[in-house]
Amino acid sequence: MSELELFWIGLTNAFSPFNFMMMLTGLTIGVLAGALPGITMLNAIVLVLPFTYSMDIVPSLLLMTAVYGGGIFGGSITGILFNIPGDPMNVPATWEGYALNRKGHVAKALGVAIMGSALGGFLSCLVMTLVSPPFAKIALSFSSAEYFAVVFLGLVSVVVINTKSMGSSLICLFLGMLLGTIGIDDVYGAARFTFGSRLMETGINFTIVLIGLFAIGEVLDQLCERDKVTDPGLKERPKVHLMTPREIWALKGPLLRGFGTGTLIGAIPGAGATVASFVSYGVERQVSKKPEEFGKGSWEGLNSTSSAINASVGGAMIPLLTLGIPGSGATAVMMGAFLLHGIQPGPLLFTKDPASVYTIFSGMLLCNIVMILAGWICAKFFSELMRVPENIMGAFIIVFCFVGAYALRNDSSDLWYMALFGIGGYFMRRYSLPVPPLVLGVILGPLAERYFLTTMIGANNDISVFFTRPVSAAIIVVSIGMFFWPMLQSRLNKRRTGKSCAAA
Amino acid sequence: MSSPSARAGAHPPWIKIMAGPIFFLAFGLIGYFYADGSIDPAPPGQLGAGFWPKMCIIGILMAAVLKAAELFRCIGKAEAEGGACKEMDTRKLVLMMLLIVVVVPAISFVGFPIATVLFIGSFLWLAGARKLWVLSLTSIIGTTFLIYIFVKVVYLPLPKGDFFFEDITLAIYRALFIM
Amino acid sequence: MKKHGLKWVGFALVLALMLGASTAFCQEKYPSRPIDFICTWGVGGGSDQMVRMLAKLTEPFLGVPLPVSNKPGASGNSGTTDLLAAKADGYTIANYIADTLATIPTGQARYKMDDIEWIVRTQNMPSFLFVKTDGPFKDIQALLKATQENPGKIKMAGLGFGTIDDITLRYLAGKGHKMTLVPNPNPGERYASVLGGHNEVLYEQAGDIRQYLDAKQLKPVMVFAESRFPAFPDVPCSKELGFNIFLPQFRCVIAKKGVPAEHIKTLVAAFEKAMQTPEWKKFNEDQYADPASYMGGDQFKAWVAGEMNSMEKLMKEFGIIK
Repeated sequence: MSELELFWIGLTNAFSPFNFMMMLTGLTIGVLAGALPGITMLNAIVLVLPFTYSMDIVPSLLLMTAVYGGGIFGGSITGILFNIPGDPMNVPATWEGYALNRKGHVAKALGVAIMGSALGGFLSCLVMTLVSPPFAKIALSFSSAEYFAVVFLGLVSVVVINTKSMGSSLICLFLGMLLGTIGIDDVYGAARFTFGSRLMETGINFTIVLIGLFAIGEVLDQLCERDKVTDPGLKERPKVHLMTPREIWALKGPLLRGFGTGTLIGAIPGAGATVASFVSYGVERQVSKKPEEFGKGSWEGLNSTSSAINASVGGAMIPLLTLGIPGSGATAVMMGAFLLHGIQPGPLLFTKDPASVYTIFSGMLLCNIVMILAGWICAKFFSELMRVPENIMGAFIIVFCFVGAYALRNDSSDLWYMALFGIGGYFMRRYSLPVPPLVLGVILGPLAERYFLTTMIGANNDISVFFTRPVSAAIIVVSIGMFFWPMLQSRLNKRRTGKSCAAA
Repeated sequence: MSSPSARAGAHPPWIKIMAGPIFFLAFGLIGYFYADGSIDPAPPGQLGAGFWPKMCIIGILMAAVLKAAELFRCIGKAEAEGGACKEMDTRKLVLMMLLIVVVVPAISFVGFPIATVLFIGSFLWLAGARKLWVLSLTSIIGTTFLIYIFVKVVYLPLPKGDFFFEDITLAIYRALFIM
Repeated sequence: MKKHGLKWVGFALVLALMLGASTAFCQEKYPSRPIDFICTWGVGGGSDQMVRMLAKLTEPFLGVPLPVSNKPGASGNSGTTDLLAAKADGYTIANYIADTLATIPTGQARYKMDDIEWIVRTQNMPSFLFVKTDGPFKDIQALLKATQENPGKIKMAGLGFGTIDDITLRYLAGKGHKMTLVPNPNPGERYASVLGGHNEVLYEQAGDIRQYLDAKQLKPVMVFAESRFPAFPDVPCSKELGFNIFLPQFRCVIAKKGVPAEHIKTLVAAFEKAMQTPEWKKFNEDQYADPASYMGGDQFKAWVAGEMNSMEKLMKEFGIIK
């Protein structure tokens, strides 16, 4: 059978009413879970896993990929509407989206996020369908040195994004990385900064840092403001404007760049969507003709990061399906689902069961189109929530944060961290310390350490290994360039205008 | 770096401006020596478990110096951050923070359902709601909804509480046909 | 106000009634409510699959569901610590594996072997050394020769320092076959590093990398056992090569010490029945586990103690612990 034929069979399979229903259900669950602070996409995938036991492999895989795709996007909705990103990858979309919201463009911002995610995801699934095996080969040629380089790029891009104060950004980034080292270390089994307590041994989960700092910090900040003037514009019932083809065409550059970075970075194991999100945003800012708009409501930034996060889904599925290597938590759960159905993802899958593979492929393509519908419905739903009184919203956001923190590993000691970071989030706002570098430090710090140590052990502690391998050398050089270029630029600008002291 | 100074006058004393970097420098130095003393030494020929945290701390120290330099250029100039800071209701803020801290042991001790009803109720009260029916209805209906989803549908083993609170929680679950 | 007061009294009464009813209900028989099954490793991994399969198959024999919750971290000790913090009423159980057992002698675990009620051994799986099929090493002899000629040059992907992987490697080094351990706790990355040719050797159980074995991308060159493994009759075992180190990976179910003996008996019987179902047998075969994996009660406890003693002995020998 030719691939086209297989693809056609797959498409007709995917269109069966049951499969279609699974997709829509999965997307809705995913978007809802992604949007609720504390309940992450990973929680949602674990949640639907038991329901797939009794299903066939195809609908269960479609259900899970739908949750995955929807969950990655969902956090952008609450980010844009309430300034509370659901998951770490939605942070850049929150910056731009919430800024656009404040300027009164909430309907279009939601539309751009939905369409950006759907189109980015669709294109990356196309890549997955067409060139999975060669793409997988490239991914396999990367060693831990390249993994380190990519994570390094992610770390640099978050520092570069905040130009207000490089010093504050770096302090927070390193502080986050230091927080990430707390607990028993993976490689040596050594206790670090545990102060002899069990509470500290398990370490700090990044989701707690994220939702604590963002969600609880935001609630405290908004509810405790004295003499607050409620903005009447925000109380109106918001609409969702999807993009017209003309608008898509106008933003094709950011869309394609986001899709490219997302797919590539998604295929590399580790922080997938999160790194993709920040890197694409950072890159977009460098190439943009209007970099001054970034942080104050940039359509390009929003579109690029939305496209990148969902493009990473297709990227992450490639090593899973072709090699049987799960690169992230979400794909690990999916791998578990495959195995529970007695199917080994990996090189033999394509020869043994091509019909299933192509059904999954076409289903995922379809999924990204259905996502426009699901995203629209959920965005509408959450927009309605904006009319719920602020104090009730605040109370439930905090409860969701606590449940989410507990659900991460069913551990009530995580609740202490949640309270701590929630209060810390308020103080960081108060003393204008940027939150995103800290969160990204907690997420990427441990990955960077592991890749760095593994590479160094394999290379007999010779640091030149990062520069002798062409791919890792190229990425590291680009990162360093990204780091110093804005400094030089601003130095030059300042000299020209004679202004200094942007902010503290 | 805090804004009260900006409000107080155009030329705040340097110690106030530099408080942030100084804090992080001190934090970094103490942290470095603590890390050096508390983490297992590296096996011969390897970087060991202490390498990365120490590198992070050195990063903090360097960043603090950079921040100090950034701020140094601002001393004597009146164009500080200005106006970004909101007036906060300090009493409300402190009470809410206290509530967020207190609810943590409460969840373990009295169980999730009871703690959540109490938390939502008191949080709404702090946030300005005063009508008894709003407080009780919101907290009870909200909590019922939450435990129904998380315990019944998702099988999340939320804390049931200690001593007889565990029995109460189980009784609540039974009454709601969750178990 | 009076009206409210009355309502509260009514509420309290209802609550008291329910409470009384529930406590009476609780003491009837074991198990009368769902048993929390803690998986001490992350979702999707080998332990997680085992726990979920076992929970599903055991449910009919116990008559109550066994909801699985994952609590990964600290080599399986986060979940274990939680089990030990719960009530010893038989309503909380957990899985346990050899890698976690290795943390008792190192002192990383905060409990002793006797704090645990050892219920059943569910899977016993020997570890193998794997190499790339199209890589430089044809068989174990070629690999051993290379390690002798270039000590430390060959890289082996394993879990981490101080683990069973590390102990085995140090044992081999002591016999003149020194390899460098490249630790990576993430299984996917570990396999990718060998498939991509970045590390030459992989230390793993066969069930975890079945897809690469079926696709002939990796091949086993040696099994750490006293006899050859039935599924790979051509692969020499460590004993015939003169390496007396075995340390199989095992997975089992545990409870907190102090659970009433009759409850333990109920659990052992239920698990034994579950492990006789064809589904379980197929699952075990797919995982390349020893067909005679089942071991329950006191016999199992004695076996675990033996395993731990040999680990402790080797760790002392290699200076991992004092």
